[in-house]
Amino acid sequence: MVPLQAMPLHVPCRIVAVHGNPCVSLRVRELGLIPGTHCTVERRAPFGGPLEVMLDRRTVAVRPTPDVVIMVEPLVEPVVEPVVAT
Amino acid sequence: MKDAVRSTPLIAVVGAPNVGKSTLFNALTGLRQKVGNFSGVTVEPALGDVDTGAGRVSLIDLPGLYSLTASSEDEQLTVQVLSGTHPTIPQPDAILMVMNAHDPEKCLVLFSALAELNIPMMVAVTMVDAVKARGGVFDDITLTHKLGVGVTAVVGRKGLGAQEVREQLSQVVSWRRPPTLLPAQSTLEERFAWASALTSTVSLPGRPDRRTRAIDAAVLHPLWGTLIFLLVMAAFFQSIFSGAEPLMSAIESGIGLMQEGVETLIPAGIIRSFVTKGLLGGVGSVVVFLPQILILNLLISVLEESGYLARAAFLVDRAMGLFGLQGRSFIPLLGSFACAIPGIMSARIIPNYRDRLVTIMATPLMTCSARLPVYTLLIGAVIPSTYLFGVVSLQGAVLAGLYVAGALSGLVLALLLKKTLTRDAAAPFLMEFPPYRLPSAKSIGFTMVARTKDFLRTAGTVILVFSIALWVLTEFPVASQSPGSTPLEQAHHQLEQSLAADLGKTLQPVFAPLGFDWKITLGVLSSYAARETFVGAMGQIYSANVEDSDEPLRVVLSREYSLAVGLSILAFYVFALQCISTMAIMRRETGSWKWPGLAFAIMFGMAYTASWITHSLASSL
Repeated sequence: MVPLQAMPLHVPCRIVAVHGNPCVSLRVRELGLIPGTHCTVERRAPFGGPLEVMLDRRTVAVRPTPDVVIMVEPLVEPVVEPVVAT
Repeated sequence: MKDAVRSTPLIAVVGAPNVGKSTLFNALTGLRQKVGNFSGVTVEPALGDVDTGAGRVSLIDLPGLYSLTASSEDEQLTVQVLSGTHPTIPQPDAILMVMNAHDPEKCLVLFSALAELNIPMMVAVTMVDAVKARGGVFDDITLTHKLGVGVTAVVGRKGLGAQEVREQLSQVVSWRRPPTLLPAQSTLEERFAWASALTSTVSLPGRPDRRTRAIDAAVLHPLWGTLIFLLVMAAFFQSIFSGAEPLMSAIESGIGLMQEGVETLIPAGIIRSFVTKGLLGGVGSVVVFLPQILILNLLISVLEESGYLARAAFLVDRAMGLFGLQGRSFIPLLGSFACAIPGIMSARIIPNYRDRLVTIMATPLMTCSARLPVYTLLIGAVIPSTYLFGVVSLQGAVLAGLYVAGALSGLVLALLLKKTLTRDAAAPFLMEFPPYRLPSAKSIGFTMVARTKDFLRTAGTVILVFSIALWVLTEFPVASQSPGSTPLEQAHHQLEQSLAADLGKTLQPVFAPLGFDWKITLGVLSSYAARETFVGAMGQIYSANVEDSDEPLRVVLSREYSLAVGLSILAFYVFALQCISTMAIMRRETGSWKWPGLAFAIMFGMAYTASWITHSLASSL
């Protein structure tokens, strides 16, 4: 589990939790960044500016602040075990 | 107001941000928009009438929101109005909810919350055509059944389909109240789960919006995006600054011609003076702002409706964040280098009241074009025209220094205000990137007309009243003129004996530590009509003709003023909020006289201190 701003670009991940100031975290969740949602970080503004985050049907910009932390986990492709003939 | 609205059904237009709500509102109401004039509101919701063919209904355009747990003042206004708890705005009879076919999920989350208000509703869905063009599907009939209220597809941008909405508005009495869709007090997560399931039932998104992706790749690129941003902003500033210039001179000469015309009709005397200087001069000082306001509103609407504004804010957010501001604050601050009036009006693009307030408080410190004639005159008079290191003009360096001092002090003031006034409201930078679209000329036209009417009615009246008050101060008591004196001598004579001169002499001790004599004090006081008035006032005070060029006045001033006094006046003009018009528009946009009053006090303190320090330092050299 890592904060959203630590995710590499274009790697799909799932939001696990939104912590922080209740008022701010409500606003984050209202925009659709709720636990369980899949998203990717598409771009970072220069000099540590906001992140461009792609959700299912839309794109939102989020500025990382100490007031709110969006924790995500990378979506790992399920590894298919090779069928071993016995 | 309350009764006037109640005579026809009042329908609230509500929606999440970026769904095309204002475009639909413009398409429905057209030019029949009016200023709300409700007391004690920080955002004036637009009102408009719609002739449905079967009677008239009134629409009220409320600020956009995502849910009813409002976190900003603007959203609270919407929640209060809808729940009938707003002190001055009546509860609407019905809700027209605007929804976006491109992204129905967040709209349905809002719908589930609005449904609990138990007010009759209708849903208008925008951008259905855009979704279909990309091979997507939007099933409004199924949605009607699922939501239990009427759903109408609309192409808001071109006004097509607005006709169907208009027909629905005529049957507002038969709109249904939504059934219970979710248990009351559902959490946001439960609402999203419901909305997500319903979204996949009624719509398919179609192919990704390749055009938006492609434009974003360039516009948000760290290098190219920054260059595009700089070019767009330079063009933006240039259009307000020089685009408005010919129109403004045309208005000024038009007013001048009218004044001359009146002078031939009315015999010399107090009535002629009132009509020409008080009335026509006052009207002129209001109308002269119109070119800038029209151009700025045009550019802002294009930037906003096209979708570029959100991207520009994204790019500049980091830099503005250093001063406690957000990306969108950049536009009002930039615009204020031309004039703070349109700059403050453009702060409406900032969706959060507190961010907007802090930005508005900083705008008067940006060096507006009205300061330039004062700077040019004084720099020419007291700064020697030599070159530093043989290349940099000293006069130019001083001028640049004044611009930098103004801008930096404004940003620092914003940071301080953000840390003190609005400490508890942590508003994160969060926004959506709407898909790019061509702005609708019609919708932009309606917005421009509505904003201009708004300016004339609210700020214009205040500016007119103050202009007439200033006329009274400078024209009374009427001085007896010796026969054979030139008009310039007469003006000088009149000003010297006016109430304004008395006021200048009375207040002079206050300004004495800054090195101001009563004449400078009078010039500074006259600047409160508009800063550039200083040049004309000094011309009258020293009987120097400034009609053709500032040359004679500059010579007089360089003889009269030491370097210390000149620099002291310049320091004062960098910071002082000497503009009644700016204060009138600040009152309009912040909802009370409290904020312009505070800005005036803070900036007077800054100006006085800076001027005193400058004068003391320069005198001791």
